[in-house]
Amino acid sequence: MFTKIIKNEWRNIFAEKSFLILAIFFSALIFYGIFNGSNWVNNRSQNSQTLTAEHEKNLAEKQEKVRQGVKGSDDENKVVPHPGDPYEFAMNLHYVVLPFTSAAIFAVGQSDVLSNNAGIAVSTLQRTEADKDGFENPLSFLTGKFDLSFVIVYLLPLFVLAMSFNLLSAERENGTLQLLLANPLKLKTLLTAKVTAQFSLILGIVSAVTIIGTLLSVKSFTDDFWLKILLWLILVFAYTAFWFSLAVFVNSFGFSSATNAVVASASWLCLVLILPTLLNVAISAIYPVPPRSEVVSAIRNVKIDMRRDGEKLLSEFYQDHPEMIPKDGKTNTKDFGLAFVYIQREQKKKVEEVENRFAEQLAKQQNLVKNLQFFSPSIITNEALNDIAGTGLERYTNFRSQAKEFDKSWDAYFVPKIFRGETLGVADFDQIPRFKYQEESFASILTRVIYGVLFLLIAAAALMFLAFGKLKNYRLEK
Amino acid sequence: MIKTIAKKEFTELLRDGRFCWTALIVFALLLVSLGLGWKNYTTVKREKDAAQVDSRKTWENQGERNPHSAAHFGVYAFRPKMPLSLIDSGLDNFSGSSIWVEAHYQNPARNRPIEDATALQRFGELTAAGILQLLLPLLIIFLTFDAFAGERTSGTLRQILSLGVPRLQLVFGKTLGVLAALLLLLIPSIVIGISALALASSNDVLLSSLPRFALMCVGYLLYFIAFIGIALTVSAIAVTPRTSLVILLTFWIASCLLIPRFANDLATNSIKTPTGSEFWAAVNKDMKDGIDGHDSANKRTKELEEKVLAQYGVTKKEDLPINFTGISLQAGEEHGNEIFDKHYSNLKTQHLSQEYFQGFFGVISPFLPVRGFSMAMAGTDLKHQQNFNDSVEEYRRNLQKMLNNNFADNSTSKDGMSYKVGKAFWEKTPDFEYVSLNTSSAFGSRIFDFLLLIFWSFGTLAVSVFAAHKMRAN
Amino acid sequence: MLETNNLTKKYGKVTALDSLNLRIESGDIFCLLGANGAGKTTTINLFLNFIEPTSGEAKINGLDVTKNSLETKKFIAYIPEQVNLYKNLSGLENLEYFSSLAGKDNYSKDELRSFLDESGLQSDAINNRISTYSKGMRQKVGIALAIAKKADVLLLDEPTSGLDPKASNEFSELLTNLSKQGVAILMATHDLFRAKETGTRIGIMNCGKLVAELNTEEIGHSDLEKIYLEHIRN
Repeated sequence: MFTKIIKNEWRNIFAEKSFLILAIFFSALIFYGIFNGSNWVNNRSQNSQTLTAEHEKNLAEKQEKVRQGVKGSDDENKVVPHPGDPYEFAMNLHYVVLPFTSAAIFAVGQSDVLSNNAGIAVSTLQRTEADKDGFENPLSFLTGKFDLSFVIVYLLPLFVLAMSFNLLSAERENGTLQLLLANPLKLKTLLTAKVTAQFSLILGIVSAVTIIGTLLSVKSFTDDFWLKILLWLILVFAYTAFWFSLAVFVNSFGFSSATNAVVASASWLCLVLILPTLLNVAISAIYPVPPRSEVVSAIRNVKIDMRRDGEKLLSEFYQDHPEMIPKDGKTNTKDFGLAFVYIQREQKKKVEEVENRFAEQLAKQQNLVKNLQFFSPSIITNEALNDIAGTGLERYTNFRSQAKEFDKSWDAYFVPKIFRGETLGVADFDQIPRFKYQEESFASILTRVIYGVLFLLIAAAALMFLAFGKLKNYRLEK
Repeated sequence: MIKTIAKKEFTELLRDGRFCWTALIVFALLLVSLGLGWKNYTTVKREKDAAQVDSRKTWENQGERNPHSAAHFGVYAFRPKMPLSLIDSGLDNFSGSSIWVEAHYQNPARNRPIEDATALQRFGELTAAGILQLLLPLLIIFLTFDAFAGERTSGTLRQILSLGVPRLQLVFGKTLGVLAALLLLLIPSIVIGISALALASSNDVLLSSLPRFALMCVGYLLYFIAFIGIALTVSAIAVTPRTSLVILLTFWIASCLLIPRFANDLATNSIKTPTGSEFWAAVNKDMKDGIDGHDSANKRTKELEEKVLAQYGVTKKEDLPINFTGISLQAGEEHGNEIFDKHYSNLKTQHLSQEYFQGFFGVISPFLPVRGFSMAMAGTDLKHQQNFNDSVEEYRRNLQKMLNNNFADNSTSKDGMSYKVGKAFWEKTPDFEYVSLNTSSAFGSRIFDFLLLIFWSFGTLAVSVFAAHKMRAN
Repeated sequence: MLETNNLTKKYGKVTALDSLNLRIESGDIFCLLGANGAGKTTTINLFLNFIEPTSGEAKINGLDVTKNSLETKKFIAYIPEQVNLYKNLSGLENLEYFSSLAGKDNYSKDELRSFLDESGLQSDAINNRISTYSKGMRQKVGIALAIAKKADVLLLDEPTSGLDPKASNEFSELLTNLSKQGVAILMATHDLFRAKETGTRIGIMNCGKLVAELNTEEIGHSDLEKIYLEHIRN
């Protein structure tokens, strides 16, 4: 009986021209989303690869010069630094790179706002700050990207609701419902079978198109890529289930199809468009980020102190760190370069303190997002999709903190050499710290995503349960 | 006749529970968003004003210092919050809020608020503009989708047409009826909007904002009329109210969700902007090949030196009555300016072309022109951000020139970098003051969007009259 | 066999059906006459368990319909005023679907075709979509469904209203055939002529009450109209 209804539902759906148009259009949107996402990732990865390659090339060239014994020159008219000069090398900006995961093509997430490159240097000059510079059109952020995540979070519910908003009401208005129920058939069975038919169809289309699109656009697969795809599909399953049960719930009230359409679209509007913005307001009211102008003032105050007291500070520094005294035993507290290095290190510390306050507030906000996401299924899904794709705030925060650690090891390697007045030997080049992003394990991504998925499924089950309760009073008369 | 029809529509809407509830919800959201906008505006304005004063104070109190060293220390310019941003915050959260004014480098506006926000921010912001652009059209759709289709199903359309009511009057009557019901919701909002503006700003700011506010209202009115026209057209053509609703919702989704994103992606994919690292790599490459004030070994410095020496009729830098370093630094600035002009104007053109590119999609989506127009009137669009950047750069160049000239004129090359100036001079340097684009140039830059809105509103009304003529009673 | 005992349905203060007692044996064609709102459709809906009775009971083949709703539906075929089918499916596909839902899912295509044939549907229309069918053709699919279902009981709600006289006549013949095979038929109708011609018994309803019960053999056409109007006037 159940399978008969499912088969008949499929037959009815396929006989409907508008469904075919809708399905083809939706598949096209998925393809376009994947294409667009992979386009974005490719462009950005190229930039990152260029940066890494240039860094390595630069290192290799210097190493080769040192090997050949090239010396610098102090000639006033033509200053050429020694190729192994640590000051020259370490003060300049180097980039470390956060690689995109293979799944990043699914969701642009925060990757357009947060840079995949972090600047590393002993100095904190504006060029290190410039690593965050983005020259994307701000209009782009306002509009948002047309990626797969957008198609899933915003459009999939519309597809689901467009199919299911009149699950029962249409049959009742056509009169087939009365005819159906003159048979030994429960309304519950009929409804469940119809939903199963539509649900399996939509999920089938979305999964198939997503997988085909992925195979066409991903060139290299990381180990856990298929696990991520699986998790992605489970999430889409849960999200779709939620919207179907919402449609069932709306139908169980027994309104007319037109009313159902209005109620269904209003729920979509509320859950997808309005609630997230309201929550955003609430979250930034609870944990306001301090004004950025505070960072600016902090940096300036540190600078002013350091400039005034640089010489004094430097001699104190040598007293505290006798191991840094050059081998010839002569300290030069008037050396502009050394004072500069010292000032830069102190400035870094102070700026970090202020920056940490921002990071803390943002981390608190993000925690709150994870707790409040349960108010809206689209927030759950958006967050989870970003997590799976590796373009969410957490991964970028991880990257920034790993880069910060790396910056410390960079300092630790070069600064003593600068103060001792050493130059790098051939072997020293191989010792220069290399950055490698420590990827999160799949398990930790799973723990972030799983609660959302479970919640979606529970919410779906609860709506179904309520709807079944309502169905007992379903009126067949128009 | 039009009046009678309008009155009937109006009364019917008011008696319709659906309208009252949805209108109440929309009104509540408008109130909340205006309140939030007002709070946000006052806080940010206070912070920015304080920061600007603070930056100046630090500058004036930096103590005895060589002018060039002070130039490196620099000052900050903060982008002021525009009063009407409390209605439409536009790009405020997505573009940099401050610029560091320093020697040698033209910095872009940094500290975009979006960087300090969670992914929730990407769902959009609760602003009055967002509600007017997204929700109001939906409200209009819900009110009008069965304007004709519903009357056809219930049979009243046959009766009306059998009375010989001219269809033109029927359309205008219905339009006015819906518009009147909307105004019931909008007029209190306008009053509240103006009050919020008055509370948040001084009288002269309020007065200067009013023309922009009025234009903004006109823009939205045209937008709403466009949606009424579309809804009436579809309702006249569609056989059942359900079909009418489905078509209109599809149009809304396409116009407000799909087309803007699609247009944006198309624009950014076909007109590429550099990433941060690419931009600076290109700038640095140009810098290396050219003059750098610090590097006396450079060929251009040599030429400059010879020129200056000849000008003063001496043979050695030490004999110059001025400080050559100051002159060389200024020459370096001017060379740098050429490089920055090249790169930043490229960027500016890229951004503007992306915007124009998207603007053309306004022909198929009325959402795009109204969004652009509203942002421009609020002073939060791309043009306004760029205008701020440009005036900061102009200020930077003047300041650098003043510092370098002071350095060159008041010391000699023998002094080297030991020349210092104090508070009296810092106080004489100009402070940054931003004058926003005036209303007419803001309007001028959006004339295309405005014409599109007119095209949409009058066009769709005309089409709906046509559709009403073709309309069948059954 | 259809049976009601003091069957009553109230909507708030309004009594739609008041203590109906009815017994329709197999082979009977019972025609319910009455003005709009007299309670005819309510009676049929109660038998279908689409609505719950306020008091009393309705039985089909001795089973209470509220307690055995799925069991009793196996015996019923229902033909409303408009037999509404899936418009994008053919007559044959509709018949296949509905009869399989009725528990008869082992008919071959030929058998199904023969049912449609029996109900008088033109054989060239069998594979056309329902959206191309006339009202009479749909009613025939309804009859075919009743035949396929091998129903003991047929519930008809104004099945001939809007049919042209020829189609109406054909329909009546089909009913007579079914009743000869032992089906108990309950038909709500406004058509006095058709009721007299086809029915074996006639019930007249007014304001939720069964006010008269007649055997068609005992009365003439003009008598029926007179009796009907008398009862309605009160």
